[in-house]
Amino acid sequence: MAPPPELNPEIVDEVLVRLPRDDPAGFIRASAVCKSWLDTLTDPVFLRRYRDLHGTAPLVLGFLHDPVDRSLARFVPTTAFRPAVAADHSTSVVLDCRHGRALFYDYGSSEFVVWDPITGRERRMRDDVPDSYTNYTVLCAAGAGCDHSACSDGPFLMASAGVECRDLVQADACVYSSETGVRRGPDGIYLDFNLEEAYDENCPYYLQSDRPGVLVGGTLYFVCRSSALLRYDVLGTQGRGSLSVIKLPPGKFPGSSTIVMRAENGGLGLATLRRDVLQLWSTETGPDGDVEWVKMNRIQLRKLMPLNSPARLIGLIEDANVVFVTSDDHGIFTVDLKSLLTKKVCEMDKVKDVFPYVCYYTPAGTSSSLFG
Amino acid sequence: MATREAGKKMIMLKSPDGMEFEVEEAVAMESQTIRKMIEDDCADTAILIPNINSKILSRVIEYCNKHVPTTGATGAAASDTVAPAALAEDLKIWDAEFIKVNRATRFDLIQAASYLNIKGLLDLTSQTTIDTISDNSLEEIRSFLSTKNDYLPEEEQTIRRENQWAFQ
Repeated sequence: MAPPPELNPEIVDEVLVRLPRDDPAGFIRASAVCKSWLDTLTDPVFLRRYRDLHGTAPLVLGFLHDPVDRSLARFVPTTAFRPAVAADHSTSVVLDCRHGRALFYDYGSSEFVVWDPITGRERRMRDDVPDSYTNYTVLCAAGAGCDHSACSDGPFLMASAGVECRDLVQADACVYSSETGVRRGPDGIYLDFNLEEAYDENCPYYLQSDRPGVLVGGTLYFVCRSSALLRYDVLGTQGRGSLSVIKLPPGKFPGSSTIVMRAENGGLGLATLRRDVLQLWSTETGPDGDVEWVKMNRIQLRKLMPLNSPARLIGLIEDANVVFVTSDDHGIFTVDLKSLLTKKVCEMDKVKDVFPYVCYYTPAGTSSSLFG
Repeated sequence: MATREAGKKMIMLKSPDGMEFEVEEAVAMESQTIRKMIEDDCADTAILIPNINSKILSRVIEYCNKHVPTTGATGAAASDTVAPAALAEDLKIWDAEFIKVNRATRFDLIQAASYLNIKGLLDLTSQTTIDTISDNSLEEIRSFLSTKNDYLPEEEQTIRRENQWAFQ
């Protein structure tokens, strides 16, 4: 009897280079078949071919949101990927998602939960954050040197920020490190006097609810309810006051239609939505360190998607400058702010905020983490 | 290029076991390797395709015949008013039938598609193997693909323990 046919080593490359990006388990399984496959999957020439074939744009495997029906899944897939373990988040709200980690608050147990949708692993933290903190952000602790291709199980930071209005308007921020288990901060600044309690309900400095900070060049920016940003040097690398306020350009910019993003020049940028028109902004730093806003492109959303009701800006893919926009009659779209490529992501309506889940997995990152 | 208007330019492909196949130039040029030979003028009369036996080569030609874009009035297919979507659907069904071959033939087809650089055929022939990796246990993958496991038992155990999520 003839021996069973083998997959010729020369064509193993041809096959493995076609492993889909949205199936990270496939990289692990292929690496575990035999050592020569592992060698292939971590070979620089192979990886260049893989990148050429599949591209390097951040791959959104789905998004998290808080459904009105609390029993529904928080994760909505936009590719073939499904979370490894069907986690029960029925008592949780989504706070953020970044660097392969989703951040929840579990009302059932009063804990913060960091969840890895790929491995299903959960890490829980006791809630010892004061009530004045309202907005939360999770990020990889490794800093700018990490490509996040194999770090989702590694140490993370959870930054919290909030604004309080008493006699004075005060902003505070702190950051928890999973590595040390220690919370750094609070760092606080006074923003304004609350003369005659004018601000009690309508303080423009309150942080926009359900919007996590956005990471631009290692600094977090939180959007206030109106016309300001709170800037937080979360990594503590800037060597000056770690919390400051940045005024938005003159005009009316409600926090719900303002998204912070990285501008084309790599610095701080903004997308603001008004009457179905997206206005992009970038910043320049003046001689005295002041931030100056510069108007960039205007994008008419009506030319890109059907709109019967006003468009709403509901999320951002941080590393790609792609925003999520919804018009409740027509579902959810992503708009690439550079190419204007617009894609319908799903039919869902009445979604308030979306937290995109971006896959950073690569064959190399995954395979090199094979032995833990 | 004088023959282009008069009819279809034909070229001869030869397999190492001595068989000859006369195919339209457009069909042969589905292969980027052959396209390059023709464009570089190194394909006068017949092209010898090394390492691909006549059985596999005939299947490759069958694939290219089906997938060559139908341009202009080349007969019944073009005069039909077939919507592109329907055409794509028809091709998909045809592909699914085409790839119902045994493993040895499939591996030979991957190798042929790789040498001849026919992207569609490579995608099609590799997909079954990719599906094998996605849908089966490690033991099954190794057995289906006849790949020898050279990890030590304790190494494999570590991989499984550290990456449980990928083996569920």
